[in-house]
Parts: sequence; C-alpha cells; structure tokens
Amino acid sequence: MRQILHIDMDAFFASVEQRDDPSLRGRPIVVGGAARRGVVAAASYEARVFGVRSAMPMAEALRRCRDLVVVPPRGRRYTEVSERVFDVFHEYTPLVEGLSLDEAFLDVTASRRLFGDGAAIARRIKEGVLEATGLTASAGVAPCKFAAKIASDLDKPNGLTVVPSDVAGFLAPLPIERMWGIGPKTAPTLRRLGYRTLGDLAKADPDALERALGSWGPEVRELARGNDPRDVVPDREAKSVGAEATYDVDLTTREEIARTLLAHASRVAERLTAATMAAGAVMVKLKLHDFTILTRRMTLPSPANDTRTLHDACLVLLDRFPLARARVRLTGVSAQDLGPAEAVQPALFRDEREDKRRGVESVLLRAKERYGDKPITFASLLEGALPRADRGAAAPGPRGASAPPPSRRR
Amino acid sequence: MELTVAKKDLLKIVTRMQGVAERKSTMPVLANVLLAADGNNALRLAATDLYLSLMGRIPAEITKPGSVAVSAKDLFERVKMMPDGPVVISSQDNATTTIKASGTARRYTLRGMPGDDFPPLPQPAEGSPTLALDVDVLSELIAKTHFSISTDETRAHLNSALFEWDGDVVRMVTTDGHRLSKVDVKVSGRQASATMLIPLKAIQELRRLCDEMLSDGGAVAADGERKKPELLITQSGASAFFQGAGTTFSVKLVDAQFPPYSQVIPQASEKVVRAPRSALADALKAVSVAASERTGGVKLSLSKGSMRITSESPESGDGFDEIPVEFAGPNMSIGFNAKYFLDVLAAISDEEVAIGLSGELDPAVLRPAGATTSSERQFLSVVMPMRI
Repeated sequence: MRQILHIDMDAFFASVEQRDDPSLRGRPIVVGGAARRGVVAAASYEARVFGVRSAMPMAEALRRCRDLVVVPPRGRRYTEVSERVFDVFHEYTPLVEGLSLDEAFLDVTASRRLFGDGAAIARRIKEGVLEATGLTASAGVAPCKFAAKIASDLDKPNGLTVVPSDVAGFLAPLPIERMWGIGPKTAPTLRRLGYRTLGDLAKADPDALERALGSWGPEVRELARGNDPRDVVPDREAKSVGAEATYDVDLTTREEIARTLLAHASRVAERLTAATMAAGAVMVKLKLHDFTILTRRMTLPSPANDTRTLHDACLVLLDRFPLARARVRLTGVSAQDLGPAEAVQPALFRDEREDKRRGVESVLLRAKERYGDKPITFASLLEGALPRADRGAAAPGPRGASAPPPSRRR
Repeated sequence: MELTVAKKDLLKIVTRMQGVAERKSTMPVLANVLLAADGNNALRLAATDLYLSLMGRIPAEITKPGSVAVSAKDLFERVKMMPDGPVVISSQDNATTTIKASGTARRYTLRGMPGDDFPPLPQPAEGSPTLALDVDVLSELIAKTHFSISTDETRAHLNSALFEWDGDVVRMVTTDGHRLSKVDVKVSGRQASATMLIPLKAIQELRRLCDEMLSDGGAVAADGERKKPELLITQSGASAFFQGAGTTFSVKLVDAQFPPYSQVIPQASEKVVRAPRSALADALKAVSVAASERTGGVKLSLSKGSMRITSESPESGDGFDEIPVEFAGPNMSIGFNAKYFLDVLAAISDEEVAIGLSGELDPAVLRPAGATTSSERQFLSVVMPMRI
C-alpha cells in the first residue's frame, strides 16, 4: 500500500510575518495588498477567529476585525522560507510534488524502511520544519493523494491526521465541501440533489452524477470511494538527495571532515537504495566559521548509490577545497542527477568490489529495517568518532551518531 | 643568477612546464617552474605536481649561475609578450626576478622563491633498463586507445593506460569498464619485457610530447638523412621516465591491478557486419543528435544488406537513418552508446570497419577492415551494448 503525505503549512505567509516580527505575534494580522482595495492573501489564526479568510476583499476583512493589522506581502522572503521547508521534505524522499510555496505531496512508501511508518515520518517532518523555520505545519497521511489532502485539513493548525486503510469509510461522513473543486457554486446543486456527504457521492448513480457535474462526475465518485491512483510527480528538475549537519565545534582537520562526509554519504546511499535510484553526480558543501558556503561537484563516471563510491567521490572533491587553516562548521553531501538504479549500460568486467559494496549497503539497510537505526554502521562512524552535530542540524533522524558523548563547547 | 636565452626556446618549454605545474596544490611551490643556471651554456627548467615531473634544458648564455622558482603561469604569460630575440633573465638573492627583452625597454619583475625550495625531481636508478621507441609508434598507441581511459579518479586501475612491451610487440590497452581498446604494434628487432600502468594525466602529457616531436621532425644525422624521432623509456622503481626533444618527463606509475582484459575480448563473433566507416560515423552522428542525453543510446537494426540506426527519447523525439552494409543475416537489433562507436571510428582511417556481434547483450568487437590491419599492427575495440 502506498503511503502519501500531504503537508500544508499553517497560515504560511502570516506565520512568517509573525515569526520575523515579534510585535505581530498573538495579534490578528493579514498579509495582503494596499489597505482597502486588495484582497487577503493569508490570515493569521487570530484573524480567522473574526471570520477573516484568505481571498476575502480587504475592505470586508477590516470591517469584520477592527484591530486587524495589514502587512504588505514579501514574496522573496516567502520563497526563501519555502525552500527551507522543501529541503526538509527532500530529506525524507526525492518524491516531492509541490502544489504551491506552502503545501506539497510526498510519496514516502519507500522511505518507511529508514524512518518508520507514514505517521512517524510526518511527525519527523513537522519537527524538522519547526526546527528549520520556527513554523508549524499540518499533515495528512493516507494511501492516496486525495485522502491525504483532505486529512491534512481536518486538524489545523499543527495537526496530524492518519487515514486508516478503509479510506472510503474514513471519507464517508465528511461533508461534500471537503472535496477539492466543490465550492460555493457546485455544493448547493449537489445538496439539492440529496448529496450531503462524500459517502453519498460514493454511493451515487454514476449517470446521475455525470448529469449533475458533467464529465467530472465519474471521477468525483471514484475519489469519494477512496480510489485515487494518481502518482506523486516530483517537480524538482534537478532532483537531489542530501544530508548535512552543523557541528558543535568547528572542524579543522581533513580527517574529521572526511569522517562527517562518510556519515552523510552513508545516509544518502541508504536513501538512494531505498528509493531504487542512483546518482549521476555528487556535490559536497562546506560552510566555514564565517558562514561562507563553498561547494564542489563532480559527475560520476557511471551512476552509483553505494556509500563507498559516493564517499570516494566526496574525498576527491574534498581535495578541491582550499582547506588550509579552514574552520568548518557545516558539512553536507548531496546526490544529484538522479535516475533509476538499474544500469542501462552493463559493465564489461564484473566488478567484485562494487558487488561487495552493493551487498554491504543492502545488509545495512535490512539490519536497520529489523533492528532500528543503530546496530551496524561503518567503524569510523561509531560513537565518539564523529564530531557532535547539534547547531540546528538539518539532517533528519537521530542526527549523526545517536547519543553522542558530551562535547565541550568552546 | 643572470643569463640570456632565445625567446622562442623559452616560450616553447615554458608552455609545457605550465601544463605540469600544479596551481591548486596546497604546496605553493608546485605552481612554480624552477629556473636553474647550473650547467654549461644551458638553462635547466623543471616543474612537478609530485606525480608528474618535467625537466628540460635550453641553450643559454650564462653570466652568473644560480637558481630561482617563479610562477609557471606568470612566467608563461610574460614570456609570450616578449618580442622575438634574446631575453635576459636575472634574479636577486631575495628571489626577485627580472625578465627583459634584450635591446628593448620591455621588462617584467616577478617575486619568486629561492630555487632551493623547489622539491628534488625523481631520478632513474643507475643501470635501470632503457628502451628506445619510435615516437610515431607511441603516438599511434595513444591515439587509438586514449578515449577509453576512465575519467574516474577514484578508480586508479581504470584511470590509466596499460603499456606492455612483450617480446617484439608493444601494446597499449585502456578500458573504462564499458568499453576497451587495444592496439599491438610489432617493433622488429627490439626484444624487451615491461609492464606499466600510466595515469591518464601522464598519457595526455605524453601525447603533447609526441605531437611536438613529430611536428619538429627528427634530428638530422651526420649523413644528412633525417632520423625518425625516438623516445627513450626508462623504468625505475615506481616511476617511468620518457626522454626526448631535450626534455625528460617522469611519471609515478599506478600501483594497481589492470583488469584481466584478454578474458573480455570475444574470441569469435556469431555475425560480422562490414560497414563503410565514414558513412557509418556520419549516420551515427546524425541520429545521436536526437538520442536521450542521459544515455546517448542508439539502436542498430540489421537485416540483409542494411543497417538502420534509430534513436528514441521521451524528451527529444526520434531520429532515423539507414546505410548499406555487408551483412548476411539473420536480422537482429542491438543498442549502443553512439559515442563509444564514434570514438573508435575516429581513431581509425580504413574505409571499412568490421563489427563482430553475438547476442543482444554480448560485447561487440570493432576492427578496422582494410590496409592498416596486418601482422605488424592490430587494433580492436570491445564495446558493451546497452539495454534499449
């Protein structure tokens, strides 16, 4: 069964404004165009109490709430924050389909081996987004897109709704207005015809629905029955899978940096393997103590998804950084130019080393599946060997080595 | 140090030096070229990245001996701007170096490093075996195989060319794991035995050296005959030394196992296609324009007397061409990366090429089918098909 998440940021634009400007917190605010003539682009939850909704004419919003604060939109800022949110999504799966700046579908079917079931992944993503941006999101978990989207809306803000395997049963009691596309125009028509809930639509006569809704009718009936075969279509042109972490104490030696890259490469390899994808290129990112960001990228001679190959490439790239006297606070590895893992170009020689590496990867993966995150890892990544990552680490999950020994802050 | 050299000589050798000097190294001195006036009537120059080293001499009039190391790139750019004729190079004790065009006002000053800071270059152990090889033979070995050297620096054994001297045959074999090229040339009367794995970067440098020596022509012997230019090859410890055209080029050989190449060369093929080389290259080039960028794959469909070449890609549509070939059947289809074929077709000059095929997933063998194949010279390339 597929596991689809729909994640929707709570009052996104308004929340960004309230986070950036503490004086707006706790107050009814809307983001929108020039005072009386614009429309509301987003309303904070405090404003929604007064019945202010997005897309409402500003004049009406001001009539409903006399203390309303109108904030002009800052598109660039929202895009920036949105990118950080989507980066968190991409930590868990390359299959991310953005619907707008603040909502997306994620197919996490293959990621469950690494991160736990859909609900667990949704919780981790919500935490990750909160940590990265200070904002909350609501999530719906379901076997299909339609139900996931409905679910994310049921428990806003900061909610998490898991749809049981009986999708139709879950949908049946919900009012028809919950369905995408059934708005103030269509809903009264359907209600007149006696359809009040999604369950009514599921049981409807297909011909009658087609007469009422046109060619859309049969689809509505199928959706209401929980039948939605649509796939999550990833929309990042240059798809990538990455892992990175910020360290407690700046890294100064090549060995330390190389070890962190092994940890990232191993995480990236696991996720590629789980998604049966292979990387055509590898990029290493370093952030220095003064926040300068340096990146080096190379194309792999042939696509790969095993830790060793990725880490070897990282080491080649590492030598291309000017590292003399560098103090590194963050390291990251990302796999790029992703494609299906099965080789289109078979090799001339059987590469036993590569076979072994693949073998190691799948053993690691299976062990994690069965025993959780800790039982087997590369020797150089054992506890104590890895610098402690915690300065707002962006890497998901147990954040580097679990339960690292206490490290001294400088 | 003070000396006078001809601009032409200096520019030629500095051009090659700066190809070896390593700008990105953590050791700043490696970006430099060593200028040493320590011999009679010659300026010695050297550059190294600790793996490759190049050492050469050019005629010079030495007024005051000494040595200095200056940025190879800076020196190259400045020498290039000098008018033809004599150039005076002088350096102070603090390594400040002046380059002046004799008889003109044009002058540059460079901040150098003391010549003593330059790392010592490897030297062959005394009595190491030395072989003499015609430059045109080495040039041919490289030209026919260099394209299938893997560019993957993490796989040293494939990121290099295998050079073997096996009795009176010299051989070069390269593979990137998906294709393999092998060329054998008979050098009658020169028996020897040697095996070296020469890294890609050194192969590129050797190629430049061969080109330069071939375009210069050979030295004129006493009887007025032009002698074919030769390279002296010395293997000593972990390094090989190539000597010619007044320079010695040394390389740290790769210490790894080259794959067992003879196992993957099919002994026989079930079917053989004979195709006109340039028409095939032309058609492949045309059809590959429309091939998927990710894979570069084209499909060859063979039927009696004809080869159809097609490409299909969800992004860029389809491409099609057809050429007449000698083929008796039965019909078959097989996919290849067009570039692998094109590289081979560009490396040979025969009018016809023979392509040996077996199953759809069995390696193909390409051989020139014309004048250049004889018991003296043999070339073949093995190409793995693609699943299309």
